[in-house]
Amino acid sequence: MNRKKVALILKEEISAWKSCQSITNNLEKVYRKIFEKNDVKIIKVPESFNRYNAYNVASELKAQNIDLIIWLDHKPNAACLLEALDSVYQGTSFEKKPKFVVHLFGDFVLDCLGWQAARIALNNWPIHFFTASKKQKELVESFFISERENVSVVPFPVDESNFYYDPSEELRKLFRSKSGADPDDLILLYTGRVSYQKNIEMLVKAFSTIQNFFPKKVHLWIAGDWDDILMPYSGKFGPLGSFFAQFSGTSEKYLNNEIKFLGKLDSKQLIEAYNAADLFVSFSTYNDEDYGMSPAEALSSGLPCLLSNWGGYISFKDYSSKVELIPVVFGATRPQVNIELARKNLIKAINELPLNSSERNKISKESQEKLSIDGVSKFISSIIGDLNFVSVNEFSTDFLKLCVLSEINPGSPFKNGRKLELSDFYKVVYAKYGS
Amino acid sequence: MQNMALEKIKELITNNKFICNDMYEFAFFNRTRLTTKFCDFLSPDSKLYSSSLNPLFSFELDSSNKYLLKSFELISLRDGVLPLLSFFRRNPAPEKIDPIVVVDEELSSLVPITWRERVVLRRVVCLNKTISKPQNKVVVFVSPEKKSIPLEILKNEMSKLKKKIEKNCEVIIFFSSVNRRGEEEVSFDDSWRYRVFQVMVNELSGYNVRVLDWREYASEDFSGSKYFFINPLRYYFTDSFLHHDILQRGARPLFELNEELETKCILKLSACHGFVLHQDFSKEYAIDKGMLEYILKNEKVEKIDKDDYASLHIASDEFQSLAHDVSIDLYHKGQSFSC
Repeated sequence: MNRKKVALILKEEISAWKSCQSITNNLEKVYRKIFEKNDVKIIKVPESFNRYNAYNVASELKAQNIDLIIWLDHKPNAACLLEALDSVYQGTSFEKKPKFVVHLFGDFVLDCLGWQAARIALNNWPIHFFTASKKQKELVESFFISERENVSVVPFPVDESNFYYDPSEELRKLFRSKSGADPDDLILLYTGRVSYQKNIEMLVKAFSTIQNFFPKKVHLWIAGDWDDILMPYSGKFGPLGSFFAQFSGTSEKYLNNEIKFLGKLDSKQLIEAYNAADLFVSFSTYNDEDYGMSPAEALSSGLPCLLSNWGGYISFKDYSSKVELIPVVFGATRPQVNIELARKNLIKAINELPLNSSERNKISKESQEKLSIDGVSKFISSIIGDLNFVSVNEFSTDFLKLCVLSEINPGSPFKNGRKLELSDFYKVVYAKYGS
Repeated sequence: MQNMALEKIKELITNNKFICNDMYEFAFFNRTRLTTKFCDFLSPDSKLYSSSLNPLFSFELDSSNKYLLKSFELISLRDGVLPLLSFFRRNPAPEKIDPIVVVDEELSSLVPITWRERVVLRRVVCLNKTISKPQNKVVVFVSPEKKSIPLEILKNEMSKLKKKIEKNCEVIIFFSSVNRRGEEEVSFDDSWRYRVFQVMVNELSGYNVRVLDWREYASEDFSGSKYFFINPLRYYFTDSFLHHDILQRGARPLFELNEELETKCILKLSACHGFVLHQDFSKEYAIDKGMLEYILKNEKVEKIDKDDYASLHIASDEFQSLAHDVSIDLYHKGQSFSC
């Protein structure tokens, strides 16, 4: 790597989002690996990053002669630093400005006003965006117009020392015995937030209607914290317990002894659970599903996946031959998988289970090659020298419309009048995610 | 007749029939200055949570519209001793169209005989255990406010805590309900918070103690940990947002009761907890009616003393004194305890 001085910018505080905690930690490990022979400066910024803080950080970067700045976190918005850099480096030619790499997360759409405010800086700065999936790349490119391509897909890395396939099957046996499953039972596993946005009700419903079609006992394990975020984009907010209340109302009748809510698992329990399970399932159509740390961890642990054909999930097809996708339809309140196709796909996937040890090992190795810290390090090293660092010339009409709607309805830009439904504009913006 | 209210609730639970009451939203969005201020004072304990029982504080109802109460079929009062006594003072006997009212079981002795047919009692229970790995930490919730937690009682609660935990246990303290009540005058000082903290630090000498702010509380992993809710007097509130939140996030009470739940009427609030509902009024009415009538003469509920400074109360000084004594009395009779 011929760059001399690199700055990695991270948030001081631990993210409230579990997946973002892993992503940021793993990205830091990736860049430390890539730039192990370089002078790497770590700068931590508070979540409440303001123009004053940003100016100080920009001045520090200038004083240290940093020539590559890499923004690793989803919060605060990197656009705030970009504006300050533009001010501090006034008079410096485009070529001599430090290059700026920004890893974009799912909340990019929600942060549109921050990016809009940095319009002049975006026009002046050599910048390159990393998105975690192809679909997010399409989304970003539909908003930011540049002369040359300045968005690349770089998957968020998985720590292979935490998520791996254990060929001795000790982890599998251990977790199964703790959770009351027999060695011959088949286990479907969902990990992540137990949330309205993740279509948990539909997963439970689809599973309960097909679970008795098989000679072996089939379980569905759901691991994660319940959350009540509902669908803020459409103005649907919920107080504590609201998703549980809704879930009880619609899905209680589908619950049985084979459907188990495991609660939140730590990383040690998670690797046991991934090894104990036979199939990872998620019907999520969350608007910020720009990637999917859970399927990435599951694949790294040698687990085949059945996922919704949505957003970042679609990219996992590129990382493993053992990923199947279920088509998604846009409903009035949220996109959802087609229930009939979900059932059919579940039946097909369960009939192919369990995979033998060598098949699982293959899934693990195949995905780790591209998604592990080592794999992502190698990938970034291979592209970083050839990246286009160009400015963003213009915003698209859709982006400007999004900004106006975000100003009118902060946090709920896709509100459909007074109804708690998603507007047609949501379908315009997220059509790419569901295709 | 007494069990009719409970039967009605059972029917609603069995049929999974949620009462969508627009008035609930109305009550929430039409709070007066007094109720907003008082809810802010009790925040985050007073934060909204979702339940088909329509959980509200009685002062949220009375101040916005006098007919609001009657528009509900069912309501759960999150009240502690002070607001609950005040509610029953204003509503000494139910009218035909008044709703079924759910009250914390620890305050059953404050429910007038006239209301007992219409009142159902609740207590929080833990349901299924998750497989979360036990963490050697206990979260202590406390409202460092003078009326809520006299220092002697705090010391008593802290010794209960210490008897239950090991020396290597991490103790996490979250101070709740510490917002000012509108008494911006210099005579209202915040020293009680410091005194509470001082007592807790002294009592917890030798333990690994950590204090969380709201943001840290929101991102902390509590699955598999224990919690100790210090609200021994139940003076302002009984039904705290934090209690539901910590249970939904997989923590269990430090003093968990092992009880048979199969035959009980249970309303689930999360995968981990719910309410047991019953009408077991075994305690006599605890209030001296003569005293109550005497002190209520000329009561002025809301006091606004000066143009720029507002001193907000939901009851007169006399009534607050009475309620505080009742709280302490219930505590010493062992009718009220932390969990």
